[in-house]
Amino acid sequence: MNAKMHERLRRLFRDQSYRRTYMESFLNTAIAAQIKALREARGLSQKDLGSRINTSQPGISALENVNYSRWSLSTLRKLAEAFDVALVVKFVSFGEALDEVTAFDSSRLNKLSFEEDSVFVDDEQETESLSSPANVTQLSEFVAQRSVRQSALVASSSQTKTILVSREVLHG
Amino acid sequence: MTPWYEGLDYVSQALLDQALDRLEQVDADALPALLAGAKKGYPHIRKLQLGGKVRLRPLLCTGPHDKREELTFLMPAFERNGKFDPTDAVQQADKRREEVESDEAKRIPYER
Repeated sequence: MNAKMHERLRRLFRDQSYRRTYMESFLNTAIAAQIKALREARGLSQKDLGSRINTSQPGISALENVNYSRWSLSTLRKLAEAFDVALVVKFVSFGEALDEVTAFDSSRLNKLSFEEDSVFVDDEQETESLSSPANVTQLSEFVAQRSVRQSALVASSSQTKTILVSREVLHG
Repeated sequence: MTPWYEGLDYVSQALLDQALDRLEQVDADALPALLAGAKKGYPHIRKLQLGGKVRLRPLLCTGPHDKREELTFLMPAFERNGKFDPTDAVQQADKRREEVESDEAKRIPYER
């Protein structure tokens, strides 16, 4: 969590129009960014994804625009199905929203499909099939691949930028 | 905080802050259509595309010293019917970028 950002927004969120606008804009941004990240992680073009949910390529392009706000729950459901991920929609307090906003990073965008999700790997079956000597190579490959995936997520989550400002703007 | 920012209404301030906060957290490539080229002939200048009734278009550049880690806010601007207000906003931003590039002291962290 970015403590400095959290403190600043805690102060600014006291204004109703500020907090409403900020969170609406965050929602649009997060949805667009996540659709793009999920699509790219699956190697899909906008056209490929469009054909999966019966939408045109320009339609997908619009959904991936951070300023687009006319998406529907129905479309999001179709996208969740196309990406084989769950869709969770819930109401939260602004305090909880602040935690979500300040913890936002690249690692939160891409989510594993059901097939890739380790939660659903049958442990017994996997141990059995990988315990025979012939499968030791497979096991080490499996562990190595998972390790690479986790490293990639950690690396992508550390991409932060510093925002600077020209002194001319301050004097303007 | 800049006088320009203080002069914006809360809605515009929220839109600008939200966009800059996300740019701090993730790479601009992950935020489709948030940053766009500002004008032909000015490849280094990017406009921040914010929604809302008032078309705020703050002008920024990546770097210019460390293009991977830094973004510099160069010039506040608006865009109406495809035209910038002030009309020479992009040119002014480009001039400031050159100044900042030649002298790092001409910019500071953007404290909000």
